[in-house]
Amino acid sequence: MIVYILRRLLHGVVVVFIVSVMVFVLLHFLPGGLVRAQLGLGAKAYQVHNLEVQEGLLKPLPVQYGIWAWHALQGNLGFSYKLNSPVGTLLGRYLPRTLLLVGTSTVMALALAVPLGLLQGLRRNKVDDHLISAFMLICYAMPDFLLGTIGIVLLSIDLPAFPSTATSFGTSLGTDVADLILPVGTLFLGTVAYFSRYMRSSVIDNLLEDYVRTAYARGHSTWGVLMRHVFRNSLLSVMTLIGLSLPYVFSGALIVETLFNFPGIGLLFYDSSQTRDFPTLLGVLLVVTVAVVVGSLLADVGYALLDPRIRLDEGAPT
Amino acid sequence: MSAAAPGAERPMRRWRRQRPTSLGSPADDFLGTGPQIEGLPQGASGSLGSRSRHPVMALFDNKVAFAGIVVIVILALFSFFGPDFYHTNQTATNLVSQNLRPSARFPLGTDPEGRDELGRLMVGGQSSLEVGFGVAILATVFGLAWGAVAGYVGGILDTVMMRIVDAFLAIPLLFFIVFLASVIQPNLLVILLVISLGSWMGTARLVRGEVLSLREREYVAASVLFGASSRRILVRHLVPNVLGVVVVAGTFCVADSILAFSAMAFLGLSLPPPATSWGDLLTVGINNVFNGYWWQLWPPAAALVLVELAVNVVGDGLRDVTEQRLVRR
Repeated sequence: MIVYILRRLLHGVVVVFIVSVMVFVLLHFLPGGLVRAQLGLGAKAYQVHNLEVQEGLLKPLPVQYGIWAWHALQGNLGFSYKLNSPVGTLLGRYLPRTLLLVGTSTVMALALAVPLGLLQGLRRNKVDDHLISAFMLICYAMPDFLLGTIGIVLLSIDLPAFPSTATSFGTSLGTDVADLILPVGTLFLGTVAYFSRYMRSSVIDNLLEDYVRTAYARGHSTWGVLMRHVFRNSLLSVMTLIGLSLPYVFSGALIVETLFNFPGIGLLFYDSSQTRDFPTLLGVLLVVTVAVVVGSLLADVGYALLDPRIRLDEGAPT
Repeated sequence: MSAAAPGAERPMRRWRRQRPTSLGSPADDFLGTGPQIEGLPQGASGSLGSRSRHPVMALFDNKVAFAGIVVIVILALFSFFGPDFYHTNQTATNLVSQNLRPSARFPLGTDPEGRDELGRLMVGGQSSLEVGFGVAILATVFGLAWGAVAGYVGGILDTVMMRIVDAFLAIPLLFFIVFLASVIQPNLLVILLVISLGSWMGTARLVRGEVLSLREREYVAASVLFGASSRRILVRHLVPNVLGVVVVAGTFCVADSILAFSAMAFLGLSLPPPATSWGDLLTVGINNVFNGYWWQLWPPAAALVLVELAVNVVGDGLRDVTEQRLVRR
């Protein structure tokens, strides 16, 4: 078990390393680089040169990467020349809100998708199963920003219940909750569609397993078999799905935050891309990647804790 | 034959009704085109274990998947051939006819630049479908090659290649796209490449897993014994066997890339006007949602949702068909 966790941890570190190299190299090879973005097109050659010296941009690329990575490890992610603030400070302000958004909607999606999938698996190919499947498929087929817009049309234009923007998020608790409802709801619908489809087929697979038939044959009650064998095993596969779904949920957060003007790192990232604020872009990209890696690591460890097959024989799913 | 009668009898009846088909023309059996027996549930012919229908034909038996194919074909015809029958000026802006409601002259109204919305929908469909299918092909071919090599060669190369896959997977697609697009000017080719670059990993992983298990099979060992080269084994034996999985993944990739393309449009990273996409049109509609210009919002929304539903449904159907031998339901 310890070996398994350590190995997964090592994988995570390697992945973060590869991503950081990729991002760093891209940043330095793409046209219209750092200095021009900072000084503008009218900058004189000596100004460009001075800044390049000052920022250490004339050193060989691996050395630059080393310096940047060393600083990043110490929590120094550079300085945003557009927002005039250290990137670390910006992340400290925006990241918790995004985690709140992503976390709440994922937990809610799980809380609905798991029982729903169980129900659908049990009532497979009946009318209610088809209705739920159809609804979920439609949610799945919609881009997040369309889901959000429908939410805005229904709940903030036609029936003005909730605000259509969350710009003022972080001022007071009462408005914060109201601000969160539409963004969280949008992400929630997108995620629940993803989870419940999977849960349904997982339940169906499990219902056909021999051990379920054996359990029935031994005279266990329907409810007992469902809980002990079908539910627990289906939950396991959904566990792995959480880790896999994290990148999609963060992508969704980027869209939802832009749509609702919710001040999280998605919006920060989007704004930075508009103003070509490279230190911020780099910092956010790195932190989001780390968040995804840590999230899937936790999901995998959770999976290993729940699944005796992995806990006992150290065999790791790759 | 008392308690178990209903359950025990049904397979027998199936078998009796099944019989005549296998006695049909040999060509039917060979091509898998034998007549469908009415009243038999989907997949029942396969349950006898002798011959199942050709996967493509079986897909047509699945009513929902068939409807999906029809919808995709209709949308493609609408987008690519519609402009030949319904002539509109999609390049010039016309400030006199801005934001007009649907009327006899403009069946779906006009956009903020005064262009005919129905015509825009056709033009937008072209780029959306091109991106969807283009990305699916690019990403599938690349992912197939990557996964096949990693799985077949194994060892250190496999580890390195799969960690690279993990790294790409760890960056949320839209963050990746926004980052790249902040430095490159988008055009159709760039968009195709950028979305492909963020979409090949799923296929690579699937293929690698399949190849890992397939390469231990006897027929591969036999090929090695006959002196076949690695390339030949990969191309002739391994890749054809993973094609089923790959096609299914590729189909879902069409849906995902159309969504990603529309999300890009929403984030302002799109084809320069007058080119457009369903995502662009939808974004215009969303920006005008507070003005009540519903004809700019719902038609592109419907087009996007329709194509997404259709492709997903076809993907589900394909998956059922390719997993036929594993699926007992």
